[in-house]
Amino acid sequence: MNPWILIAESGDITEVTEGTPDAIKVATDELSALKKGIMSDEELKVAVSKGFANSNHMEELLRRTDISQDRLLRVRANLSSALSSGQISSENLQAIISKLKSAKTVDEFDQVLAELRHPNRLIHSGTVAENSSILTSAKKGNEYTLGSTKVKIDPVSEADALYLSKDSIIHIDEVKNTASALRDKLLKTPDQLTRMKDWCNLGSGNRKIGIVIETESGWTDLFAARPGETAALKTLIDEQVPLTIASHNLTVSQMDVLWNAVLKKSKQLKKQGNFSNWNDFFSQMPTLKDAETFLGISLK
Amino acid sequence: MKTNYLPQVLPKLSYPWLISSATQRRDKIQALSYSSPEIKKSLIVLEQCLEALSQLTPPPIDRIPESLREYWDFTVEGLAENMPIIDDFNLVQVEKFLKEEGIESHKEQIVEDVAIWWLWSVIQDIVKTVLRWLEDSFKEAKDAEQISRFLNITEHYWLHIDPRLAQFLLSRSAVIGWKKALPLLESVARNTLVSSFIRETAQDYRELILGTSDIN
Repeated sequence: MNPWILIAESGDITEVTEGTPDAIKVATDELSALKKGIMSDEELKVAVSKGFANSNHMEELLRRTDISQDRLLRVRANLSSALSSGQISSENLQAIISKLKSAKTVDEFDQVLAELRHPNRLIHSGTVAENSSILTSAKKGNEYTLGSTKVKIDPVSEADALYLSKDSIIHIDEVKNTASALRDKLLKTPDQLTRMKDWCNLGSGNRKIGIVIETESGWTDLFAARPGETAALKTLIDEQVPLTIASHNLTVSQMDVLWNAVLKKSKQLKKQGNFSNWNDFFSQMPTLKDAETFLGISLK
Repeated sequence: MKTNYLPQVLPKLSYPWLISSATQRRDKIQALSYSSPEIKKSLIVLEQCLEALSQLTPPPIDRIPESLREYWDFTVEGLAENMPIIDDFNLVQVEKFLKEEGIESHKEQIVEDVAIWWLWSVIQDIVKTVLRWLEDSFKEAKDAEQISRFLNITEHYWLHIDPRLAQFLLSRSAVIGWKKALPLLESVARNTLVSSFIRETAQDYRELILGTSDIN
């Protein structure tokens, strides 16, 4: 059985591929959690009727006709899951519901959904400490309480996910739906990763940071950069920030291997006269697994 | 060609900072010791590079051929093969690279545009690498005199370089200088003539320093 399809049938999609360690367990756990907890539209509306600033936004979101049914099913599943876990605050969930309700494009909608799916996955996988909430839109200047720990995110301006893990580490994750969205973020706020790294270094060894990209589709945009810009993957390597793409967790060393392998392979193809252009080159590796084969490397 | 000024702005850098390839330079830098003599050398490198950048004005990016433009980091690395150290820089090598890439540069302007962007990109990367290295080295070797010198360099150049690099330079000054960087950060935050995001960087790091117990 292909676990990727298993999840897709549930109304949610996680790119857990065969061959990934404990792929089936991760996929079935998430499916089970989602299936068990999917609320009806009426239950969802009732769930936000108290303690939410704009409870009508849920109804407006569920009524959207410009968003495909499979996307709305994913939203229902993920909101049900988030509401029943109780580890994401009403205020944060309200912000997500409002953003989903108002998202003007599918890309924007998927980006907000990614910011909901990531904390849900962390809760399902048991990563978040049980006595801690997970904040989905933490802002600089505010002091947050995670379990019994108080923390600010300064000098980071905004964090997509701030949480305490079971091993007492405080995490900040930047969550993007696609590699292209990460590139856009770094163009708009080029010092985001630097600020995250500074926040991490200010801790006494109890802080971790990471970038999470929900989908592997279009992942090679990590290499794209015009003059005056630095490719997202190179920036991650330079700033020593680990990356998760779908179910792949890449350390800085693995990203370095990947970067150098692309450099080496492209040079080799050019010398052999077999290089036509970069788009053609990157089309040889639609997934990271394909990249390992094409580039002759192992990212395990 | 209008690039007659280019040889004058070329910094004369010490090894391994002068290596053009970002990946090769990074590998070699890992072997440097965090010692006062190396810090002194790296501060000279930083100053020379910032001086060069303050004199370089890259052309609009649409003047770079599309096949070289969209994955520019790899173009920079490709050109670095022809010019392994900054001192090797010359327009003949750039033209040779363009031919290898199948770009017939009938116009001298293309060679010049690619050359300026390459030089700008390599020097920018050297500055970022020096700054990261200095941050690590000052943690090991807290040399007050050199930290003051570093802050003076920042003060002199932050306004004359690419705003994104200026943000990085200022935030590294904050992290390295900590309370000693406060006067600089305050003056930048108050400077209404510069872009709001540079002022924000200065203000955010100023607040961070004031709100955090002394780490230096």
